Amino acid sequence: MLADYDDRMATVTVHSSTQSPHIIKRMLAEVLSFPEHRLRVVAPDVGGGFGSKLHLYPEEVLLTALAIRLRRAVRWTATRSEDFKATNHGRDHVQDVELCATADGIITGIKATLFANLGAYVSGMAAGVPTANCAFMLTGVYRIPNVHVDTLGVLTNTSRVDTYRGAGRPEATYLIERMVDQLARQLRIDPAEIRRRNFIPPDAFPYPVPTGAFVFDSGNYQHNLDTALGIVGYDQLRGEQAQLRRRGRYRGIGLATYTEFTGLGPGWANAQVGFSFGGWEYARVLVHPTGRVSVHVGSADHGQGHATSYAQIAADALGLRPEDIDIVEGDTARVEFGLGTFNSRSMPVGGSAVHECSQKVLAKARRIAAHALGAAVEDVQYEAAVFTASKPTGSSPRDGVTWEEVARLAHFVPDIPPGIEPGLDERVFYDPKGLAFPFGTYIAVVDVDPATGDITIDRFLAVDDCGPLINPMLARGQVHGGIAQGLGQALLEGARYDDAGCLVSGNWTTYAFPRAQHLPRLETAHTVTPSPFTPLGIKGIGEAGAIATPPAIVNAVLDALAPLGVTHLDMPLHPEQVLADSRQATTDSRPLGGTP
Amino acid sequence: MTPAGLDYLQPTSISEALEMVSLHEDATFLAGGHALLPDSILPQSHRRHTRPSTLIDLGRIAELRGIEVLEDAGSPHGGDSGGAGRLVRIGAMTTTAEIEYSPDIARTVPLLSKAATAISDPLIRNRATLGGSLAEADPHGDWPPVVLATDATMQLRSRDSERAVPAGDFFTRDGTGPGTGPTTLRPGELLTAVTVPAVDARTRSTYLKRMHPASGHAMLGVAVAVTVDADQACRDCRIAITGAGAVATRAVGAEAQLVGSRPTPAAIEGAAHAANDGIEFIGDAFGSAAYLADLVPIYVNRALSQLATPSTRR
Repeated sequence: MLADYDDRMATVTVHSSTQSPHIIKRMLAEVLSFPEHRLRVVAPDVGGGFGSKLHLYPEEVLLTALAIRLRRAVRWTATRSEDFKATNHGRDHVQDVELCATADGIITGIKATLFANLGAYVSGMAAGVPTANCAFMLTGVYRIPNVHVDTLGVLTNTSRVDTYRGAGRPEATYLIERMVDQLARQLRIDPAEIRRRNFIPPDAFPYPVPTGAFVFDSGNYQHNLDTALGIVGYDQLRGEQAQLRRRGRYRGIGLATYTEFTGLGPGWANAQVGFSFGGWEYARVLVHPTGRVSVHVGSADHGQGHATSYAQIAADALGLRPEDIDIVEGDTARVEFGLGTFNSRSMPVGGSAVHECSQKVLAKARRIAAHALGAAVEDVQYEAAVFTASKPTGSSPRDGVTWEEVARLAHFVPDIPPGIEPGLDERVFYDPKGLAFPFGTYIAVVDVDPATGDITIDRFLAVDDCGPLINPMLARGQVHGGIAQGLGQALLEGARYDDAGCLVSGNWTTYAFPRAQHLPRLETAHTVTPSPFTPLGIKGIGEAGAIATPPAIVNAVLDALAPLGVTHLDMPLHPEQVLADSRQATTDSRPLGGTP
Repeated sequence: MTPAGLDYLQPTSISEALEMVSLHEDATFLAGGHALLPDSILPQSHRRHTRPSTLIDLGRIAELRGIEVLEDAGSPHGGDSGGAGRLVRIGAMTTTAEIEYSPDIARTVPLLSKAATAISDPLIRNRATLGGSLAEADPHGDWPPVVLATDATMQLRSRDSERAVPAGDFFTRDGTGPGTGPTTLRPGELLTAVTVPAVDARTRSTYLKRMHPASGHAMLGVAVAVTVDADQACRDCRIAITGAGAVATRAVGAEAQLVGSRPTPAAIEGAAHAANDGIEFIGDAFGSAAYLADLVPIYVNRALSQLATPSTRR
């Protein structure tokens, strides 16, 4: 990062690799008692953040303080090892859980105690992840009337632990999806069937969760599950599995049906997770005299492709082509307000702001066009970037006026309609009405080598429902990346410390992350259930893959090893551990509930 | 964070390089740099704590490069090695990619071609060299077991002498070479070339690698070359293992089990059982010593079984 002090203007410009330049600006101003209006934070092309770049880092404060003190530019670059040690870590729960159910598999209650490592220092959201984000989501997609959760934040001597792609929802989803599978196995009910029996039904939405924390906006879980089962050929897979088992092959099919919350958020929801600011997003749509459009948004792209998706939203609303729209983000001097990109909020919140602001601009453009056409505003039609009057005005000097002409008229012509200012430049602070809850079904098909413990993923399917898709390719990219991260968590990744408390996984030869050879071909599909809480019906899709993948994979491996009596494995599923647990289970006892 | 106080020399001949290394105390040859640079030179070096003061880059020495098939050369190995006594000479600075794509290598020592494709990715194969890897002798390197299984000989030169060391004597536990793993390389000595006996259709070979999930190196690698006689009995067998201990080693106990008999499933099983003999296993967080001891017989079994299947001959 780079902090530069301008002696003449008495301003500081901070370049930092962050997901939330406006929040960092506000915090720097507070911590350093420096006037916020003379601070500028620029987030350049940030190549990924995943929640770890959401919060204020000591280096950001230190460098800015040094720049002010020294009245010159100060640069700092982390080495990879420093990054491993000091960038926020994620997850790290120990979960004790009890599930209550009737003999026919109807879940009646869940009780859990979560021990959540917070690290040695409390980071920006830290305790909010295992409490609000995780504890409130423990009931998943199921109608479970009774919930009791105790969350204990544990201060240790590890690196700080905070938000990481999914932030609490992966921990919650893992817990409930493992338990539901366990229940299915004990009752000898198919894992798909036990989910069907417990889903929140479509007519129950909007559905207030039993903890009172959230209202689920919309859902159609059964349809989504059936779609996934159909694509993967579930019944046939089960048949093949039975045959393979007879031949001593260990194939497993794992399901995870998830929901999560995106689009932070209404002020009350933000307060719940410890943010002391509103959850609005800011958009400014300004039309240049040429008719070209700049859209300023307070979110901060770090790989999501906002320049494309926001341009599509604005282009649709303005009746223009996406290439007519420029998106400006990630610089507090160019975008006056904003919160940033996290909690899959850019499309549901930022996208809604862009949509509403574009509509505001179009409404004004329509008034200018009506004036030029000598028509009443309500008689003006707009299509293919041309305004026309639906009925002849007689006095009208022309048949139609183009978007470009309206843009020019707004700036240069003295004959502006009475009662409106010149210019086509509007702003919106969009305040969300509620959170948006995407959902979906993930299915993993695996083979486990009983001699080595090796896990091969034969198929991996994700059927997500994030409402209408703005850009299917970008959405697929989000799902693919999320699955890779989820697979990393399930099979490979983990920070390790030695007995002296030193990080021993601090470089790429000791920390395993997913590479191309670890990934199967990924199949993706969507069902579409719009959210009633967002103007376009859209929900976030940035974190789904990381949330639903770990339980799908672990459930599949446990399903594969069911004949050996293995009922529990801890992530990451290193082959050595899988082998050891398989041997232990084989020598220990008969499987719970008899031979599956 | 730029390395300070580092001298960088670029000789253009072997004798110039040897002269340089004799003049500079604490000098190290740079032969592609894919171990040396990240481990010792670059700012984030993490594996070694000492850093040479002088780098002698071998990249401009043409005579260290290239692949040559020596027809009917007077083999230092003696006797008929199956390839009509031909030897393949590979210059130490030949890159992994050059070996991978060499038709001469594919024709004469196909195990080398196969092993080359198992090493890292194309970018690294374009830069990393055979000699660099062997002198480095990383316990998880891919080339050490392959030169053991192909019965290769290391050609070593210093300013005052020259010697040919069989691969089996090159990687020695008490060696003091400059790399991560122990070799017989002496101070001031340079590995100039590797000579490998060519094989014919009676020799089948393979390299089975288990990639370390973090480093991508061989968590375990098994190189196998089996030569059968006319009635399909095993006449010669070389099984070499990398990744399991401090240095790549031949599984002589397993080899002895197989020589003289046909490679039936039972014989292969017997050989695999003996594969752990003499290995002092060293594990890590992704595979303990005990787990590696589980894996070696399985990999030896799978490698030998591959060779017993006609479709995967050679």
